[in-house]
Amino acid sequence: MHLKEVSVSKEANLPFAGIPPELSERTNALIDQEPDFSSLEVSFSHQYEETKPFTLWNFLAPYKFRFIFALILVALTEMLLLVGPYLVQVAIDQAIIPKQFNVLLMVAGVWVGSLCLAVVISGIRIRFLGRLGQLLMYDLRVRVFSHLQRLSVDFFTEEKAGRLLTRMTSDIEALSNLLQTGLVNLIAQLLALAFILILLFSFNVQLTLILLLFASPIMLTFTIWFSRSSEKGYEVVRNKIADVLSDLQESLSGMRLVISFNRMKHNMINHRNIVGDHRNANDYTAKIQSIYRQGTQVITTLTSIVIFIAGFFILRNENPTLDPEGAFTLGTLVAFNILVGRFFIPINELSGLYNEFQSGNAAVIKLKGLLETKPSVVEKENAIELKNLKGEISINNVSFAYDGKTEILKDLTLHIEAGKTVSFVGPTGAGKSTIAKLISRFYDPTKGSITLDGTDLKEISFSSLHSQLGIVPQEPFLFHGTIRENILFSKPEATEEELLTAIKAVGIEDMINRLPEGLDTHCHERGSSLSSGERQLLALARAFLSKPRVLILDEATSNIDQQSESKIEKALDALLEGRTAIIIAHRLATTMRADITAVIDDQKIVEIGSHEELMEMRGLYFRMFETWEKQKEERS
Amino acid sequence: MYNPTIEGEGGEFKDEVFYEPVNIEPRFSDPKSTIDPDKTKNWFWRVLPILMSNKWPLLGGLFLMVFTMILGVSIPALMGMLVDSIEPAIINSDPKVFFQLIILIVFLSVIRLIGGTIGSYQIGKASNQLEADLRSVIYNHFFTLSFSFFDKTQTGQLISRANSDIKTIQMFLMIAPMLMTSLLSFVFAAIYMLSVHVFLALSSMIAIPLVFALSVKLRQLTFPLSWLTQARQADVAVIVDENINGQRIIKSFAQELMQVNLLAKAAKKLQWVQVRSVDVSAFYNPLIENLSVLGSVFVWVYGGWLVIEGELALGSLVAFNMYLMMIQMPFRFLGWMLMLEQRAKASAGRIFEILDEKSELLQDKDQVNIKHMKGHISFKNVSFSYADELILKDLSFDIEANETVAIVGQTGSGKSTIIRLLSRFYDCDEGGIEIDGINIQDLSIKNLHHHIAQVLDEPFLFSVSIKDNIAYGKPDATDEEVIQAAKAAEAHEFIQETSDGYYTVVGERGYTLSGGQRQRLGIARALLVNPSILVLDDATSAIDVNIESKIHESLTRLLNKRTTILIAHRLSTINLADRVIVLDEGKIIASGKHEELLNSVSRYSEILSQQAIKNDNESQDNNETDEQQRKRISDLLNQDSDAFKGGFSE
Repeated sequence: MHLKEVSVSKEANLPFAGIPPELSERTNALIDQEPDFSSLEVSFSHQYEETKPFTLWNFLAPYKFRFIFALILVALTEMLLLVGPYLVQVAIDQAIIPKQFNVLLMVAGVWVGSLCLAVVISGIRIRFLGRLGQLLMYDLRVRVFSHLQRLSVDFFTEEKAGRLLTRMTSDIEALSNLLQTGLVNLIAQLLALAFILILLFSFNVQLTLILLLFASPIMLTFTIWFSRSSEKGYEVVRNKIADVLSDLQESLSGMRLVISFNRMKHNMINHRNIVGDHRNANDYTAKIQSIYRQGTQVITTLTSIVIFIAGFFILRNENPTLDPEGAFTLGTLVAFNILVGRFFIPINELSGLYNEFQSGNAAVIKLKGLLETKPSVVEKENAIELKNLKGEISINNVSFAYDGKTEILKDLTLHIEAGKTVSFVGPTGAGKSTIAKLISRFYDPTKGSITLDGTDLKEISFSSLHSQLGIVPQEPFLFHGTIRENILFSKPEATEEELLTAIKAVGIEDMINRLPEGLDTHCHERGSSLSSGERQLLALARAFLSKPRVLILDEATSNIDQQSESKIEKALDALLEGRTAIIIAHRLATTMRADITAVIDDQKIVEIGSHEELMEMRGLYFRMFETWEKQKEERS
Repeated sequence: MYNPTIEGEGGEFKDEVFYEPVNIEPRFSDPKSTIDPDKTKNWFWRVLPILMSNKWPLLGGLFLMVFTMILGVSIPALMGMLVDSIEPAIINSDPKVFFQLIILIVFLSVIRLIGGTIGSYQIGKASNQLEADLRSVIYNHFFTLSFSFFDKTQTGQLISRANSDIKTIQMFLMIAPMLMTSLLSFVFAAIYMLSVHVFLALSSMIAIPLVFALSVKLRQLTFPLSWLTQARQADVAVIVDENINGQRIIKSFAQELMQVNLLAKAAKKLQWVQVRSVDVSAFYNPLIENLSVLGSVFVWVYGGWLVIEGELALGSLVAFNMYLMMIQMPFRFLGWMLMLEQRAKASAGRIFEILDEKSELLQDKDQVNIKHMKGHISFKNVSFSYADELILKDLSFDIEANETVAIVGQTGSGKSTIIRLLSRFYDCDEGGIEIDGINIQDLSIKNLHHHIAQVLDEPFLFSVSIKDNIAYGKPDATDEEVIQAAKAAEAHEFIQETSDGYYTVVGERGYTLSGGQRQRLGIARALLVNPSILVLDDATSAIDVNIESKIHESLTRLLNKRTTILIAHRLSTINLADRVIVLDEGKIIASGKHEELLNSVSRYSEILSQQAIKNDNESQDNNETDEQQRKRISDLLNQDSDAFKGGFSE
């Protein structure tokens, strides 16, 4: 049983609208060919392994021989590309001018042969490198994701969520682009430049020097200018389009206000201004591009002209008879000119590749930062697999501070006997939830220790600890999938019978039967949205299914509507029976069912005892109880 | 009794500026034209009026492009002549022709540089202007649409139409002229080649149809692959997104391994589709690239033989090869352009769908403007149904000028509908609504909105400063007025505590305010426009009881000057009203003072107690749906990945 079938099925909502029908047919045919990887299993361990720092070099090092092989293929392809221009020179000087038709046929044969070879070799190269790159990306995805699972709860703050997602998506994509096209192209273009220069020097040293010293600096400067200005220009365009879209978005969302406050005219002018700024930014990039596109062509043509003039004088001085056997011939000049066009291509490409290299490298640095983050709560090596937990919990002189400075709990000591229910009450921020988090070992106490059946939590393996612990948080998190999958989350291998027992125990069979597709209803789809109480009941069923020895309810019964309240109380009866339970509670009814209630205030336990005992103390609990009663009256 | 000041078309109030306060200087001229309303026309002809409103840059650019294209086509021929002129120049020591050609080529190149740059820049500008105009035209059009339109469409869809669809059209219109001119250059090059040697010309083009066919085939194969790649990337992103948000649950049930396996499967599928793409490009790309060279080989062999036979000059052969390169380009991109045209057509269709939408609210020409509205509201036998459901049934009631009335009823009883009908967000099906004795359908909508201000329970705030949010309905308000309004809504104190006071930017892209703070800003915003009719739709539900009572003090001070409609369920709010109207299932079941109703109408206290529970229930569920999550993630992917675009380019 899997949490969910990870696919965008043909029927499901396609993430990208607007596919022409003939193409969607092909797409469906492709999806049909997709293999089912359901039997794929990977290994995972909580141990954080010290590996070499994540750098591009270390990442690629294990594959260095494959990369060398790929580079040889790249070099071969680049050389084959130059066969043509070289053969042109041969054809002119040794076949056309001396009128040797059989030489011409030979040239053709060699040329066609080199083309066939080029098709095969570059085909192999693309295939080989592409597959290697994809394999690397798959490994990296699993590696980064596994590392995320190792990191502790404190790492997953809300503001980080978006950035973590980019690590796994666009950063890995950028690296993939760099590996499959960027790096290879960079080397290929450098090689091409070198080969072309060798060939050019072999044709003629003076002409090559003219090309190197005069024409290429101009082209290089021009390209760098273009690359920098267009980068700046597109940055502005991106910012401006973001402005346009956010203005549009807000106007549409606030349409009622715009209309009822008669803001139409003001907003139209405002939008026109924003759109106009965006247009200006677009115009700037259009200008840069127009200049560059025409400029490169003209520089190429003018360089040809310079080469022709220089070639003309060299011919006149060195080979005035235009002897095809001479050191410098008409054929050389023509071939040289064809190569001039080729020579500029790598120069133009290199600037674009430099940007790609930069963004790939930035991605590597970010991924390195993530992979080097150590979990704050670590599983001990050879941790104990604690089986058949009784559920006896001891909190011994525990102090805790989230940031290391401000103490939330101070020197707290509490013993919970197996099978008992303890509830924690107290004002917001007093540290009730922190106790729950420490017992779940989401955090380690700064001072003191917590033991479970006499064993320090730090000695117990994560899997044996968490599989016997059931936690129901305040905000029940439901995954995007069906109700069945969400309940089965805590125990994917559970039988149908176990599932039904859990559903019955928390009393949600009626609710599930009411839903359009019963257990297979999607939780987040429009129309089947569940109320917060119903979602909480699902979370309780989930906890029940895993049959935990220790159950932690972290304000799980606050924020619940009155209809669900009675059901939840009933569900709790089933849940609490025979296990240790820790209840962080807002609600009087929930607190009252506890064997012991601890009142937490000011970082410590201020009152402790059964409900009756606490009432007699006439302290904080008594006052809180009175407020509750009052609220209850107001309600009814 | 009522004697409203009525102004007709020619009254002193004709000046719309009075109703539509504007406090911004336009920096760009408005779009000069809109699309052709004739729906039967082809999409291009419908867009043409906007394109032609900027015709000089467009036509001038096109002319320059064609002109420089012709110059560009002549250069290889001249280069060929240059090669041929070397031999006589050296052997006969007569370099005159050689240098004349050099000067000519340099001259033409410079002209080409200038002409080509200006030409393509002008076309780029024209297409950018079209994009900007389309954006404004659509944006302006949104304000003319009725609310039922927005009820049935999703904002996300509208934004995508107003963004990517416009971009597609702009792309096509920028690239099409370039490809058209390069196709034209094919014609000229072909003419040159045919004029030099017919058979050589025809045989050199043998590979072209093959290259074209292969490019088309490649694109057909690439599209599904890049689509599936994007879908699989989204799958990976969905798993990561949920994993990050559900980390506590995953840890607490020790399901890390299951999650890693889940991701591994998704990553494997992504790897599979990407390897497929690699295989396709490994097969087609080398083939296409090298096939185009085959023509050159043929030209050198067959052409070389012709030179040996003396039928062709060597220079012509050189020129021939340059032309061959020139004519292959457009063919490799022709298929691409055809696809762009298809997409542009589809995009244009989606844009026209919005622009062809007409408002259902009809405005008669002879609108009446009321200068000083007293605020006597009367509903006369109003019936209204929405989506086939009868919501208000034959409803009649009056609200006197300056009266404060609370409307109480269960969810779905029609409370909010009354407000929407009053503001003419919808028109009633039967009956009519009168203000100061005039049917609101005879009033100009702007005039009506000028006098009515609403505050909703979840006031929408714009991503601008607090001051601009309060002054939303009166952008030219002075600081003093803004502060007065904020003080009346008990917002002044917390505003001053924010980082930049009244200049703190709030909303989606700024400072986060609590629900109660937002409501107070909403009230300040409504008070600032000093409306004749104030509607508070559950507008204090999230405000602390102590602060609410303070707001009520200032409201009671201000309420006397205007008609006020309160929709509320809190007793404290209802107590403010002079009179309570009890609404049940679209009908008024009672009307009177709160205390009287409590004692005499049992249904009233029933509704009040149920309201309290209902409200609890309604505060649930701000979880995003599957659809929303997919949308968010695919947006995120589209932002930084070019994978999808890759499907359309070579």
